[in-house]
Amino acid sequence: MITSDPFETDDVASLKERKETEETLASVRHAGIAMVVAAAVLLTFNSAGLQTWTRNLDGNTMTDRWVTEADNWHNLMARLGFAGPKDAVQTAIAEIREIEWPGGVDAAHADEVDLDDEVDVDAQ
Amino acid sequence: MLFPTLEFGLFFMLVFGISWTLSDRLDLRKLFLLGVSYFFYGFWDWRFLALLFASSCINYLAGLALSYERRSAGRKWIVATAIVANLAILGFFKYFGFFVTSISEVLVAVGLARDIPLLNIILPIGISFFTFQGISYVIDIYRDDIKPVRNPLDLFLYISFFPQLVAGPIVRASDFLPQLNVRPKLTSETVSFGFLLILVGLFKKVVVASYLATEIVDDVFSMPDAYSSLDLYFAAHAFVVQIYCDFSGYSDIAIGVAALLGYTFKKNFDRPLSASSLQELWQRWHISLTSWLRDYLYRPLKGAKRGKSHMYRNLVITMMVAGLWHGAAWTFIIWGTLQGLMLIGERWLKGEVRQQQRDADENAVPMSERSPLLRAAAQVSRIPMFGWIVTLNAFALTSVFFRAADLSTVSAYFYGLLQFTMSPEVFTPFVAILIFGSIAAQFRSPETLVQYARTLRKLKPMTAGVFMGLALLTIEMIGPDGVAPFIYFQF
Repeated sequence: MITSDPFETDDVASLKERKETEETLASVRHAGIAMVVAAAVLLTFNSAGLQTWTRNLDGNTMTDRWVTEADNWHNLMARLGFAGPKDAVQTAIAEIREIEWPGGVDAAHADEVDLDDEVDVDAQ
Repeated sequence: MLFPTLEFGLFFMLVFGISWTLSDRLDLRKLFLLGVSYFFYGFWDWRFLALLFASSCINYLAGLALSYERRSAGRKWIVATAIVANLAILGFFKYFGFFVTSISEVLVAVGLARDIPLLNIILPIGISFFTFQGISYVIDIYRDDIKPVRNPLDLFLYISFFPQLVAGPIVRASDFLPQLNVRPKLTSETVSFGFLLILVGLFKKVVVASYLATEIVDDVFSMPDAYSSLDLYFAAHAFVVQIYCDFSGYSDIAIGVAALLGYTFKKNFDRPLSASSLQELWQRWHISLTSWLRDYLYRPLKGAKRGKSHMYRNLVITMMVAGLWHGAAWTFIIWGTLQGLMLIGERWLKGEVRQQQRDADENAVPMSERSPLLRAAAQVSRIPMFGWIVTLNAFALTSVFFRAADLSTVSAYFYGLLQFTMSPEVFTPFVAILIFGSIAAQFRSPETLVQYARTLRKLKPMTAGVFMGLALLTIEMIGPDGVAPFIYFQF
């Protein structure tokens, strides 16, 4: 009984391999472009991060130059308004972190307040 | 070099580009990946490169020796020597200080105080992971499950491949080695899935795990007596979510990075916090470690083959070893033992209920005359998600042993918990969102990520890049400043 296509020769196999190679190449190109574009987005909107990173590097002539370049880049991005969203988001997150449970502060520190009051009364 | 840093981003972009230009020349690609893996490891401390090299040599030579030796006794001797050598390295670097301190404390307790020399040994990062990979390789060859590799590059790369080198997942040789000898492939599905996994992993680590650590867990566990019972209760849950996000985040990034280089790793976590029993939770948590312990410890101990008492004993031994694997301290050993005991309790209870249920059904016993256990089981079966609630709480409360620095912290923690004081100080709405949001996300369909990946796949490279960039930017913006090392680096 014939279980496989008798005409599936080396040519078919190599065609399949070629297709896989082409798909791999296309996917590598796709991923490479996406990574470069993502890096550009980060460089644009997170110029402060780049500035911090360069400042944390060990100091030498080359890294000193990188610090200057990163500072210039960040100043340019800030002037163009690209550095603004980061500050806005971080302020919003800080505000969310500060939210207390309704009536939470009073309830949580009720004992302390009472104690303070007693101390004041005693002092008087 | 931590994953969520600019250093790693630049490193990976270079590795990605060069490795794919070498995809036609397999040996050169492997050599390149080996070189960058050693560079990655040496970035922490170059002195430990020798240790990584020695560990790889031991396992490579043991594999070769096993391929030449056909006598059963000789094979046993080789595999035993290799396991002892691997465990000796692990034992010296990870457990020497713990055992010496413990012996010293025992001697002092029985009035035989001795000055035992203590060495200040630095724990090499990732040692538990690469040691376990090496052991599994040698045992698999001994069991004839895999063939030993002839090309040392294959074995050295298997042990040191950078995505999984420092914090897993513990990759099996039978899964990874065959991938090294075929031309690597990359599809658009793999690319989008790899990118998504990296983004999800970064979000878990940089946002959820980092905030939970700084907002509640670190403070509460450093001074448990300063916080209310409510804070302590939720700090235990916060720690479970933190460690889940930290470790599964690392695994997601590792799997995503490996996928972009053309290699497949199995998943290491499968929504464990939605499990409705401890057995299920342990089948979904750190799967590469639990399956390793099952295959190389629990089953060789004859698992459940010799009756219930043997099974219970083997469960406790296995979980105790799991505890000790995580760290050289009594807190980890107790944590592991507790997990084992809870698993025994769960199995016993389920078995008992099943047995009594069968007997009662066969004899048509009315509900009112059934045993208290059966009546209680019938009652709790009506409570929605009862199993999940019990499992999550049991896991969270025992995890106090895992996180606490020592046993006195554990006792202070539970003492505070039993005071039933209800004023929240660090359990804020923000922390509640992180805890409950992360747990709720565990109930999503396992296909969700695949569906998102399909959508991302349809995007053009430029659009996909903008999406990636904005997603990374959002993670960077909402996360706290600075990134702490991954928790599992210390294991």
